[in-house]
Amino acid sequence: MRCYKCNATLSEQDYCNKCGTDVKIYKKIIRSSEAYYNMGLERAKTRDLSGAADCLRRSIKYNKHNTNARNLLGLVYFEMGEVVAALSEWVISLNLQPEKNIADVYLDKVHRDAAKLDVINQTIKKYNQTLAYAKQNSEDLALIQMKKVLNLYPNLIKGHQLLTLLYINMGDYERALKAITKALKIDRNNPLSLQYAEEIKKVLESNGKSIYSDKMGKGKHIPDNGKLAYVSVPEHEDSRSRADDVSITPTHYKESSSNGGWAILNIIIGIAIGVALTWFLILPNKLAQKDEDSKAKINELNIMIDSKSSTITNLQESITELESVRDKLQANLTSVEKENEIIAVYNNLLEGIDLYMSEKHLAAYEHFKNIDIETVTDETYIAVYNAIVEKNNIIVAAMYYDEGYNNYYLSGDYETSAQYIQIAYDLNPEEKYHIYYLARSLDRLNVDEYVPKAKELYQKVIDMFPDTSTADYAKQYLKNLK
Amino acid sequence: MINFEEEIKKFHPSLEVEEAEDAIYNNDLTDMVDIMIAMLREEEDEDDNE
Repeated sequence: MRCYKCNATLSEQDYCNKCGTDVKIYKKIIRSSEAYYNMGLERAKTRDLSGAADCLRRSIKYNKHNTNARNLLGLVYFEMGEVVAALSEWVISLNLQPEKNIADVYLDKVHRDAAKLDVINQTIKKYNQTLAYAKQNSEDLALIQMKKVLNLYPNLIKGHQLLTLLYINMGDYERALKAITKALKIDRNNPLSLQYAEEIKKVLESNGKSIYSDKMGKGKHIPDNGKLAYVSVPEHEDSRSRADDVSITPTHYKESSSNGGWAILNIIIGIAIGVALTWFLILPNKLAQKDEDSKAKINELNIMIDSKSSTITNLQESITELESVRDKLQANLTSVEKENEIIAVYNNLLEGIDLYMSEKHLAAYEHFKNIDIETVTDETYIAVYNAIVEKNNIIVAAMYYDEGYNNYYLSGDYETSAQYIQIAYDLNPEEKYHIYYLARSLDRLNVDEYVPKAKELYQKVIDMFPDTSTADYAKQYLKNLK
Repeated sequence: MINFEEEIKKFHPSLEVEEAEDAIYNNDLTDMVDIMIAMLREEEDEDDNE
């Protein structure tokens, strides 16, 4: 023991020989810490883990530098299935005493077996999920999940306790007893386990069932101050008692007669007994052994499955991440493509303007027809487009009119002239001659089908250009049609 | 008689490995020795003031 002020080694005196500090209370505190550590150690040795944890917590509350107590507390937590609490104690222990500390070895072991740690962590998560199921009244789901958890991590005391509670809730007290027995095997004096065991005992006794023989384990439940406590029975004692159960009846040997038939009969009986012994004694052991092996293999496979599940989860997370990256890139690509489309639309407009400026009006007309103005949202673009298209259409309309009138109307081909002048009219419907000569072409075709259209067009000329000679002609022809 | 609803309240989620860091940082490491030293120091300060 060292002085808390000057770190000098203390003697049996109640003061420090070096600095003279009164260390009477300090010594008492340190001794209390040691006493609690010893109690904790004793309890841990007898598998009273809850009691041990309680003493060890007190020990480090007295003296946080009691590394042995803290490390043992970590071990006890680990044995109880409280891995995170165990790791925390070891980390703190190593922090308080970095040199010559066994916590370093424990932590190193845990870190080295990362796969196992991962399985434990997955198991903890599953336990939490199970608890959530139980709290949401999904007892069936909780039960299935809890069994899985305990298969992976059989030391999780609160897992066994929760399983017990679930069985009690379902009224299956025999299974509840088995579950709580397992919890008591790990921690024999756990108050909650004892409370549940007591409750189960009462119910089973009231149902007239014995609870004192434990078929599952090698221990026995004995009443302890009115409570049900679990006492493990030493291996040799157990095997001896089992050996005692097999009673060997002495056989009486009788000198056989010289009759050979008896000898053969005896041999056959001997073989039969041999076969029977093999069947009843050796085979069950072999089968039990095989069963144990299978269980161990199932456990291993479960651990492997869990580890794979965690890998799958990680991979799925990676997939989700990659998908989000892909979506972002896709969005970028789409926006770039849109930009390219816009650039292409502008280029189209510029090409159209270029054709218009070079007086290639028909080519410009065809070019503008291919621009999908509906996709453009830019108002300036639309204004420029409309202006240039309007101007070009007037010119193209005049070209179609000239072609239709000069080449076909004058030569009496009214069908072709109607087609050309129709285009001119569509492009520029305000032009007097487009209206009038379209009416004339249709009129002169002398087809009943076109008469209403011709009348409509004559009327349009009369209405739009009332004081012109063209209107007078139109009136005349309209009158003829009527 | 055990009441499931009451009993289930006694169970709390286990700390996961990712939460170990918080558990360590939140650990109250004050021990009896610390309290004793603080009390003695307080006493000494009071004596000095007098």
